Amino acid sequence: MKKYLSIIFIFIIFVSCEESFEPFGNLKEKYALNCIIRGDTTFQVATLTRTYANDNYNPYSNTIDPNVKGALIRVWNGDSVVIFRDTTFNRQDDSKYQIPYNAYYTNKFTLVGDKLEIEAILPSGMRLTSQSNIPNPIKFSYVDKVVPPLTKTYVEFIWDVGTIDNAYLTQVSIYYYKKNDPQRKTRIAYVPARYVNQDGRSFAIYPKPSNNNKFVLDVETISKTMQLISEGDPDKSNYVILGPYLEVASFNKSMSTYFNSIARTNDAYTVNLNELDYTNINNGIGIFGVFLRNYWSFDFTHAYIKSFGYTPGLADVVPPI
Amino acid sequence: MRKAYHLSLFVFLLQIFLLFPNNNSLAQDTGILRGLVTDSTTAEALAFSSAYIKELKIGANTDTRGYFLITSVPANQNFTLVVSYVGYSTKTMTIRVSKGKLSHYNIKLAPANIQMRTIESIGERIKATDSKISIDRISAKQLELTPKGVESDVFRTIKYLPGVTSTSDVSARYYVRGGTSDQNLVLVDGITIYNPFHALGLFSVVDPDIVNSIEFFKGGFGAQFGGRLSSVMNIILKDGNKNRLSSKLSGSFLSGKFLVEGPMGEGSFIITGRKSFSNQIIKKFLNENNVPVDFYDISFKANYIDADFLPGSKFSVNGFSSSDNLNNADPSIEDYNWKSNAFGFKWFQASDAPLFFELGLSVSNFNGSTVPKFSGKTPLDNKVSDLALKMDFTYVFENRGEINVGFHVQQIATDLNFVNALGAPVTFNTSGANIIFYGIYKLAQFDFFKLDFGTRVNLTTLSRNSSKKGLEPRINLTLIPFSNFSVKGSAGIFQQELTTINDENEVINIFEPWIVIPDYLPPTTATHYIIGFDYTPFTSLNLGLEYYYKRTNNLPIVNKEKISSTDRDFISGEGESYGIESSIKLDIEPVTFSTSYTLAYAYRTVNSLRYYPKYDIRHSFNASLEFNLGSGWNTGIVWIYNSGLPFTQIVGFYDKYYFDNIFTSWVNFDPRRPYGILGVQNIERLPTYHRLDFTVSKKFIFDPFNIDLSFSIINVYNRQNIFYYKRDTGERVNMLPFLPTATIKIEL
Repeated sequence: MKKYLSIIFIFIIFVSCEESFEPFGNLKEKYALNCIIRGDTTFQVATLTRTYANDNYNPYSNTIDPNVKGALIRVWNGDSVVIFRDTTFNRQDDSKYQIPYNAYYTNKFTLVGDKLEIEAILPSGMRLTSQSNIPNPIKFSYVDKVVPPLTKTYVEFIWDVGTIDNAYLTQVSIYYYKKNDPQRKTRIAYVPARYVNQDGRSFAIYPKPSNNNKFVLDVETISKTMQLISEGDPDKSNYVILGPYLEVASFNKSMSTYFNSIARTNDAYTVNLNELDYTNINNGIGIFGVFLRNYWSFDFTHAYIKSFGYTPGLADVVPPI
Repeated sequence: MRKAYHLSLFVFLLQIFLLFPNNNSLAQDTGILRGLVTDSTTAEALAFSSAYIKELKIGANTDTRGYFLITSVPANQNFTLVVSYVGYSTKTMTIRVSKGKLSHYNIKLAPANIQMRTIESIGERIKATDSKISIDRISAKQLELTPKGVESDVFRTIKYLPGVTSTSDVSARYYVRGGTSDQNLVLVDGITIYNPFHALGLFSVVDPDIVNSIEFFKGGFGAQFGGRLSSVMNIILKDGNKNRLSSKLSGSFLSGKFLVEGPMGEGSFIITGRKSFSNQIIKKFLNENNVPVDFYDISFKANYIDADFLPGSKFSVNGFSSSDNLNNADPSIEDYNWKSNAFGFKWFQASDAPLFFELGLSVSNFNGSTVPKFSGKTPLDNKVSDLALKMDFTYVFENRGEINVGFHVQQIATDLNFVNALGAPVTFNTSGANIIFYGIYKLAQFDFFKLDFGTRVNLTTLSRNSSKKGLEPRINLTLIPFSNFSVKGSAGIFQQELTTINDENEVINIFEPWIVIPDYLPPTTATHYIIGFDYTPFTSLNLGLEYYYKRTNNLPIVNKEKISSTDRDFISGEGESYGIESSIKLDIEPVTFSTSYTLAYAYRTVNSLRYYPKYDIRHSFNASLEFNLGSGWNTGIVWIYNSGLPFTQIVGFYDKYYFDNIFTSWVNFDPRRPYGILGVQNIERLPTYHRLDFTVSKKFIFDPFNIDLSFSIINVYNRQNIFYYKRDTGERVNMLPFLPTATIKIEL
């Protein structure tokens, strides 16, 4: 009996031993340069951060701001060079970093040519570089101009296909203001791609980046958004509707790929331990990309606006037949 | 030109078969003994049982249909035939064959009052003459006795075998000798099943209650099997009880099942179905995550035997259908549906000569789809259609030599449509016919030396790549210097033209879409070399040792670096694996003890980077102990020890940009979230894995019911085996904790 108990005891000792195990390796120092050039503004921002680690493996518990100050960031834009200034921005979000965040900016940037190059020289002398092409502006080949159209229940916008693999993101906004607002501040209601009703609740599904050169929106979805503008407010006529606005962001190839990589996250169940981390920064990580914002304004008929009890804010239009 | 070459080769091999010296016609002083071994209570065929003529010291094992053939039996003399099978009373009977004729005996074995264990533990003398290598045979009873992870499962049972690895408790997916999971062929009564998994790979779709036996080849399999590189699981279904109608109901924490079987005219039928009814157990497997998976499967088989219609014939049909639905109430989470359906017809003919013929027609379909709803996940639809015609002949010569030839036509269409993350539709539609001829000759006339050699001849292939291989030659040999000791060796070339789009870094996935390897990649090929010995110093003790080496070329790897629509979806890699597997089996009534140790190395080379694949386990040790306590009580424990799996360390985090709304200025907020940076792929090892499972069962009669109660504990000492670390939060996720489960079976 003693022999068996000894064997069991040795077995328990053996299986109870916890091995030392380190899921995290030694910190690999890398620098992330992020700069997304927007074609619709002269104000551009770039950020430079370092990699970090913390003792309890949870990155969200790191509160030491990883932003790098004192670097020289330059962007070659056609024949000119723009230097980004070192500055700090106050945060409006509930970031884990409790201090204003450091970034680099310029407010003198206008896109010229078809190619950009960026260079960041860190205080340590390390040099990060990248190149990026500028996407072509969108040329709409078909648009619906008036809501609601006479012969269909949806509106459609088609543009010419740009460079292969370019991605697009769309957004429809409805601009309005309230009569009783002395400042007549313009407000915006964003129209989702669709509303879905599930278990008595309505979910708004917003558009995702895609390389489709077409955007289709049901009038029903626009109408639901129109209703929500004044939800709970009996004074409908107080709302003055200016009109809807379509924005199409067109991304250059590196931005498209970046979107592809962050959209390539797993489904709700798959556990993948090594998904793609795309970067186009030489000697570092991050993204240098360009996107253009393209606009198309269309109109609501007065009859349509009034059907919600609202007040039209612009001249009436007649839907084309 | 290539077709003409194949055709001439086919004709040449056919001529060899036709002209092969048939000594049967010369041996007029002998006869042929043929037997069909069945269970006396159900008339179920007993595959792999042993038949032995005492005076002549010659014998044979039954095949998967319960038949055996012994040639060169001196005519007109009485001999003693001993037929045995574990769990059945050994039958000794007198046989007599007629000169120049075939004499058939129907042999019925009565179940003994002991529990059946491993088939390998008996008939050792017969086994030593078998030139097959790297094969494990598992009976239905053995499936029952293996400690259950919730309930009996075919795939989970084979994970206890040396050379078979798994990456977690969670998945029933298995990896054989360094091969990927899609290199494992699963045949159910000869029909290929694609994606044979329920519920994210947690359970197999094959209900063990309908399984008669399983042949599992870990390598070196014969030329009759093809299309996969690593292993073949040949699942033989039961025919159904030919003597009486019976039914069975059973339930576990996971599913409810029924089974009905009985005689049908001159034949019999069996039908079984299973339906999930609770997700609570699945939550335990998935770190308490709620996965609303719902599944069912249904299988049936019917056979017809009529000696008046066609003596020696047997006709059977079998079908199988399984379906999984993972539907979410939340419209922002995608749905998944996947289904497998199969239907087959077989005509088996035993002739008056020592010749068996089998004709099989089957169709097997798989359909899996991702319904994105409003999740942002892109839609995916995968269809596999497999239509097969198989003709197989087995002929035994007077000198005990045996020839197997066959002609297989497999029309396979794979259809994969999905929208990539950029919204671009991607289509892989391929259809082709794999027409093969195979021939195997088994040299068995010498007691000390056995040899079987043969080849698969690919007359046409699925892939249109010009580097496809026409021949897949294979050879097995056995040296038997002593009656209880044999040395075996095997070598062969294997080719595979189908692959799954599986990301090797996924530790859990829903289902794996199948496609024919794109034409721009050559078909995957593997070369196996195996050598081993088998030693049985005592009837109750068996020792085995095998060394294997496997090299895989043109391994299709999903191109993770694909960033442009013009980039290829797959790139080619190489694989290499080798190892030593040892096993000890001790069977002293009422105890069976078995243990195995495997030392294995697996490598993969992609883009000049050589690394360990995720299933590379260096040391693996299993020990199992089964007790037959009598009075219907049985108990067993299994302890598994694996050295750590490879993993990639996180070497830091950085704040990665996630543009939740690109239209909004992000100057005043921070659209960044932490993102783990990975080190060198799979260079580090997770802690060792070990687990003790326990099961106890009791059978009793509560007239008119036979009741089987079973209670199991998974992970008895609650070992915290690590599954993975979440890359985004650093949270450790463990595998199964201490988990007691129970099942009840009621048989009428």
